Amino acid sequence: MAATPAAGKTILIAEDEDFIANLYKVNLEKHGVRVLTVGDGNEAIAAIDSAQPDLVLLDLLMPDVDGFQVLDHIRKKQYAFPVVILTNLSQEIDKQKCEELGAKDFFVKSDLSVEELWERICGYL
Amino acid sequence: MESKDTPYASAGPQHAYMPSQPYRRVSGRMHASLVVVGAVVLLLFLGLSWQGSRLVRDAIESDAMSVFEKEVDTIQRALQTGLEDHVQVLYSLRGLFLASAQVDAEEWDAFVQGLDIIRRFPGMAFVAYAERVPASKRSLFEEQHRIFPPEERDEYMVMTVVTARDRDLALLGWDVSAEYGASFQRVRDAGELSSVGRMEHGDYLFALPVYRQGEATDSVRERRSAHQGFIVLGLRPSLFLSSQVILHPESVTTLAVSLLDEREALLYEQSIPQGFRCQDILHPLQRSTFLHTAGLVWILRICAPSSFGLTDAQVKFPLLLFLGGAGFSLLVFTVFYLIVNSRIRALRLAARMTSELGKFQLAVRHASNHIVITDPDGVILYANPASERLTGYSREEMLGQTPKLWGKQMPPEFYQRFWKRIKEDRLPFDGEILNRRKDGVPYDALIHVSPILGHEQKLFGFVGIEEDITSRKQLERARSEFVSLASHQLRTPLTAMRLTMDTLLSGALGALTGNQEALLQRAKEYGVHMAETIFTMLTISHVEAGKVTVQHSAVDICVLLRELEREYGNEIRRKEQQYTVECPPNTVLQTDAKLLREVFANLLSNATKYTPDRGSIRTTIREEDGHLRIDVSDTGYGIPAHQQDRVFHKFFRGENIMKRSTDGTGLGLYLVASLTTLLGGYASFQSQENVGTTFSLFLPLTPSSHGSNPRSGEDHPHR
Repeated sequence: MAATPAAGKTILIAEDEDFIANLYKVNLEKHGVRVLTVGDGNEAIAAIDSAQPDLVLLDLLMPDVDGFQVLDHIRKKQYAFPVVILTNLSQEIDKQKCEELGAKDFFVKSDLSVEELWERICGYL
Repeated sequence: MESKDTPYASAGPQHAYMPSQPYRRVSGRMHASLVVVGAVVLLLFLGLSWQGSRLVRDAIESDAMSVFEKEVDTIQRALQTGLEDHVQVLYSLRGLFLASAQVDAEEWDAFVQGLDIIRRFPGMAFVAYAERVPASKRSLFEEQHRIFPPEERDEYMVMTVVTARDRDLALLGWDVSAEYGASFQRVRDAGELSSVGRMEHGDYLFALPVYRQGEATDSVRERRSAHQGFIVLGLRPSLFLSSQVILHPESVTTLAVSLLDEREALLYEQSIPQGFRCQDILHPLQRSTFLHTAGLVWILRICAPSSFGLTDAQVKFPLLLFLGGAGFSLLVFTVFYLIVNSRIRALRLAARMTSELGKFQLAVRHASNHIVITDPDGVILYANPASERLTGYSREEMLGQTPKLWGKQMPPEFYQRFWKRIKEDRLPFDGEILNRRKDGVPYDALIHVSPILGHEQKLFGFVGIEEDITSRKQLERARSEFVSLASHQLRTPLTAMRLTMDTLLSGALGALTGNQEALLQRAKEYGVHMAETIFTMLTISHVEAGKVTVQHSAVDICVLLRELEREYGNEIRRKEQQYTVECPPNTVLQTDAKLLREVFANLLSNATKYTPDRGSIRTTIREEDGHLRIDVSDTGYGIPAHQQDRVFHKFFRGENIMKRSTDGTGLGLYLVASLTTLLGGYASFQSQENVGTTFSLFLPLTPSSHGSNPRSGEDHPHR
């Protein structure tokens, strides 16, 4: 794999399905980025505060603390890194709420291949 | 607004209809009686006009009568004088015989001419002297005169000198005693001028006896012995009347003057105009009087129409007076009728409006929706029973308050917008709102508030209607949550599968054989297709739930189409299809980009899917009738003619397609039609099997207000 301008950047994936999180990790790491995965909102908040990632791929439906709360936390802390929502919820209302909470983009997981996802998030790195 | 002490229960349906009937009856009865009164007054007026005109006519006619009477008197006097004059001439002629015992014709003629009798006495037919000839002297007399009739008599009264107006009158030698002997003897004995009879041709005879000069005539005996002859006058009525009564044909007077004998047989009549007869007219003025002299009696009858001596204006005045009176009373009646009629119509209208208002009030009172009426500041003036049920507040609690009593649950911006629209813009407001009952339980309501506007947009207040949609909202939320959850649950395994296949295909876990890669590629395509199907189903679910918001923005159609071309480029290239877009530059439309993209995506996807390899697909854009028309044409399999009426139905699939592939949900075109409608446009198509299909979208060039769905609008509360 050729080195990209994004090489060495850290992406945090918050996704409760480990299997899916790992597949994203495997496929994204090919492009030279570092990928951290967390399984719920609490872990996500902890990781964000400690690791200061360059981009967060955030699921919405997660146990205990959901993606909206994580977004709210990020907004309150005024972190500058972009947050991209990667979920299987597609209701307009959810999308609007995420926008209001400062999310950069909103993708439906099942509708995107990994390559398409990479193409879309490249620009934010 | 009803009074507070009226319980709702008392207002049964009969109350709403009761008022109208008596009103109508009363006004109907009143109408009839007023018209009768009007008609009676009219008749009274007509009668008065008639009576007045008659009085005036009588006055005028009595005038006419007195004029007539005067005229009659004048004529009578003139005729009487004329008659006496005519007869008196006999005395003058007797003077000749008193002067000389024997009078010859020469002497007579000179005397008569001296008296100018012919001219001065136009009624005279002749004057003559009849000499007494005793039987013993007949033969001697006949030496100089003839006697006729020639029969023997005791004595003869033979005319010896005659002056006649009519020279044909052969009177010389006529013995008057043959016919009128007795009368003449009476005249001789009486010694006075007297009428003696009427001749066959109509002349009246008068005779004056002449006695011998110097002999005593005091007794009948003496007069008989002294008798010498008679002065005889023939008076012709026609000549007399026409000479004495001179009627001028040019005069306006209509008059008939008749002379009758004592037995009322007509002697002569003179009239103006010629031929005017009293018998021919109605209500003539008529008077008979007498002319008499020397024992003669004539009846003078004068007749005139009742308008005698009146001017044309005087004749017409009573009729004009009546017509004027009648016209005036008709005018008065008409005005009266119009006033009464319009008043009655006003009363009827008022009655009807009262009744309708009653019905309206009843409808409002019994409406199942909450209805309140407020003043321009929102202070409640009226609240119907349904509003008590919905808000939990009693009417007494609501009156004088504002709807804030059960409101204040929405963000302040909502109320700002609300008041701006109804109070400043004076437009009705529709939307969903969250309110709170008196007991604190929130409820969802659909509200419609209309300003009540009077003349020149003056604001009187507002009518607000609320419909409780709490249960519907709950149902909607449940459905929405279910759809959301279901799609999430479907997508999660799909995501895992797609990522797995992506990972394997990427070669990250080791190289694949050709067959393995091909199989995985197919599996991946199925995954993509499934994702699309889920997306379509979700979209349809949203559209049907009315939860799709149309968000207008300037959309460059050409740019949108180029993006889609990239998206479907792989499929098009794979099938080696020819794809062309004819898009005039800067075709910008105010519409919802996302929804329109979905519509185009479905049309393009269908076009490539149902067009064989190496077919062609063409998209053209042009303006047509205030719409932007977008045609997507293909040279594909087409749609069977007998199925064409169901193309936009849910789950429609062409029979010819189903034989080729089981792929496809039958939702794409349904979604196209639904979304196009949502965008304010419409879709149509033309298709021929095995030739191709053209789908046409017609989108409004200017977005209409119908394009947005108020129910799914921003008024929706987030909770």
